[in-house]
Amino acid sequence: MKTISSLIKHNLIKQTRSYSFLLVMMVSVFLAFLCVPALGDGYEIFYLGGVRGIYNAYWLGAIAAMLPVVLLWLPGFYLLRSQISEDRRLNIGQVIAAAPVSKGSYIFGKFIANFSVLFVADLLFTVAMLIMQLIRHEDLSIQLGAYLMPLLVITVPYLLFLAALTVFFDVVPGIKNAFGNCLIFIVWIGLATVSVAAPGNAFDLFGLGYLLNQMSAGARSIYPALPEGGSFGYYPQKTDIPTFEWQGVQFDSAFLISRLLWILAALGLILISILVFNRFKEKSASKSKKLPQQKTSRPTNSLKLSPIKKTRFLNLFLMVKGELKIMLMGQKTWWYLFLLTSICLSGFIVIGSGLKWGTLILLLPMGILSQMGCREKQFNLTQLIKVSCPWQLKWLATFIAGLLIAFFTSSGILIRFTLAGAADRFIAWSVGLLFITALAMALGTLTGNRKPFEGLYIALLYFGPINNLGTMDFMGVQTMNTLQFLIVAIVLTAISFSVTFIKENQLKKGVLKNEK
Amino acid sequence: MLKIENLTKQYKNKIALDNLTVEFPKGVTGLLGPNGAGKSTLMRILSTVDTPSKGSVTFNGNDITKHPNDLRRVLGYLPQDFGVYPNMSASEFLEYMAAMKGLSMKSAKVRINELLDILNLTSAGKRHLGGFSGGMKQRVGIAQALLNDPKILIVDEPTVGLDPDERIRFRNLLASLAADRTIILSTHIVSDIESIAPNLVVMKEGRLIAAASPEKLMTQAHGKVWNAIVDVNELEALQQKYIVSNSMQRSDGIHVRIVSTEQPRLGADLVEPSLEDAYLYATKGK
Repeated sequence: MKTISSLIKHNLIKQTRSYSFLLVMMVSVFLAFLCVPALGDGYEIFYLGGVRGIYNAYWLGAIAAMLPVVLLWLPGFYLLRSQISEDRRLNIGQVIAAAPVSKGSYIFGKFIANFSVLFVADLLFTVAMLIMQLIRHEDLSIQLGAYLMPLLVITVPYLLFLAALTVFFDVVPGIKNAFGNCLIFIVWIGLATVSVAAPGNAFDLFGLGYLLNQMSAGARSIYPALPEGGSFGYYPQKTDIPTFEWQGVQFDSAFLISRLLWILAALGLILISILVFNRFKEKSASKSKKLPQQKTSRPTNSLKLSPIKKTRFLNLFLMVKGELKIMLMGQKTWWYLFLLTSICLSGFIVIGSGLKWGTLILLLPMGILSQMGCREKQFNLTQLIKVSCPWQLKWLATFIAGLLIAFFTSSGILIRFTLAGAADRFIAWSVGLLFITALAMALGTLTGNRKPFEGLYIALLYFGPINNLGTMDFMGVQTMNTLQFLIVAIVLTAISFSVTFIKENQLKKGVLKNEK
Repeated sequence: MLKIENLTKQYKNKIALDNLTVEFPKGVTGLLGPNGAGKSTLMRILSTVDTPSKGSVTFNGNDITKHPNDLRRVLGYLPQDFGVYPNMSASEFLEYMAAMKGLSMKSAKVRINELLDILNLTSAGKRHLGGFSGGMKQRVGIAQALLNDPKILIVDEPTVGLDPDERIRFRNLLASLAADRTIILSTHIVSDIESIAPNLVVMKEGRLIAAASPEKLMTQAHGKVWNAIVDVNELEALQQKYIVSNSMQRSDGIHVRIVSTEQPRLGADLVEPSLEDAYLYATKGK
């Protein structure tokens, strides 16, 4: 028990001292401020048929439970999903493997530490909501139970399950990579749909529908003409919004049992993770792959090396070729087959409403594009690359290679557009590819990590081209925003170039910490 | 000629390099110093990865802090800590590095095969680097540093991870390359450089302690190295008071080498200093 508490403590310290955690904290406080607008602020973030509850402890307690459930899934998952992989990358894994700590203690410690990080972020948001209640002073009666009950019943099981997923996806082979990132997004969409469509049933992890129904019922008891349900978003209000006094949520026993089931499911995931966790064992090489480790270099008394020719100027073509090789290397055979098949099939796509599903092909190179701008850091090669070529050329070669891969993936669809004479679609799709490449490069250079792009890209693809939300259709399959995304792509390209420039100078000044 | 003048590097409140002036002639220059002496900082500046806070670094009269590409074209660099792409073979990785260095791929391929052969990586050349041992990865690092026929070769702690046999071979490789190149070899293992480096630069806490030949350094320690046979209890007392450069258990007691300006005990005999004694005298004794 002491070992577990020590593991939790140290993992928590490590997390809470990270920049990303600080960012999550700041965003939590800022969101709390934005989510509780005053009557005259001209907007609402929670739409309930044009009315809202007065800002009492019940109403804000429910909002404090619902919003993190909506907002924490993706950032929380991507922030915490690599804690065990990080131990491996930093070579701490072998030290841990040699220590007497059991697999169970280690994995459980990671699980609770990840949960604690999520819970601290959530708790801060709840406290911020409580402070906003005092600031808005529509109701000054502080009732801690009204804040704590939704937190304990709705949020805690959700956070436990999410924390379990962060560990599960970091341990189980096959889902540690970009495929896992796609999968978690699909799980999120599935669970959110269930929550809204069938509120309160045993599969409602988010508990959103359960809360929304009771809030909506409270509103309709005062305003009977109101439609059922509600939603989160930015809703401008020209006039003062009517309010009502909501008396809080009542949890029935069936719902409480379903929350317990989710906690058990989280523990089940942890149990599987413990069983699957290989305690940082390296993959054993097959017999045919065994290397002559003991052999050393041969005597060099008469060392003669052939002359080497240098190109007069650095050869961008060769650099792009090298980048392409690195990007495409290391994929499984099925991936190449699937990619080629998809490209061929996409050449027969019907141009029309079904085109949005064609954008799914863009998920295939996600794991490749997400390494742009951060691969050297990931593999501790920054210094070697830096002294080998000018950073501007390296940046350009990476960008071109990424763009080529994006275009290659879409070649079937682009040929289809050409044959159909759909020049506008061809241009819109091409701009979309430029946008994706620029976004990957910008996020890679900015964060030095592949996860932010993977997380944001899946979300953008889902909300933009597939669901046509707002003006997010960057591929122009439902709504063409070609010029808008061209400008965004140019801005992102400029950002990634500037960030690379700044990082180069930081490296020179020794500001950057040791990569490891 | 690679030259540094009044070189200072400061990180916030810490001075990593303090007003260094050194010339690096052709041949091997050994950069010696205890941990934290500033060797790696100096190597990073010399290899254009880092820039100085003050002072200059010139190569054939050109300031490389302003024009780093002038040096990079003729530079081979092996950092202390570097990674590889685990899904690439040694040949593929070296081809990638050749492309980054702007080498003609035709001649680079010939050079890569030669280097793989010399470093005995030919049989493993097609295997993924992820399965390489530390020593083999180090050899790949050495190969990439030699790809572009560098006029300046900077190697930072290159023998880390190599077994004794491999260390000797690596020293021989450097010696055979030294004729028409400037090689700067940083290490804190004196035996790594005493046989191949005609020039030594000794650093301590960011300052230059000595820039001289091994013979000159050893001359400075002349008359300051003692040999004595002691028991275990006395050894502890001597270690607390003096610099003990070596101790060997023998049947008649423990033979200790002590670096001291005075006779450490009665019966201690003066002996000829080794480079290791001289290094200890330079860094701890003065």
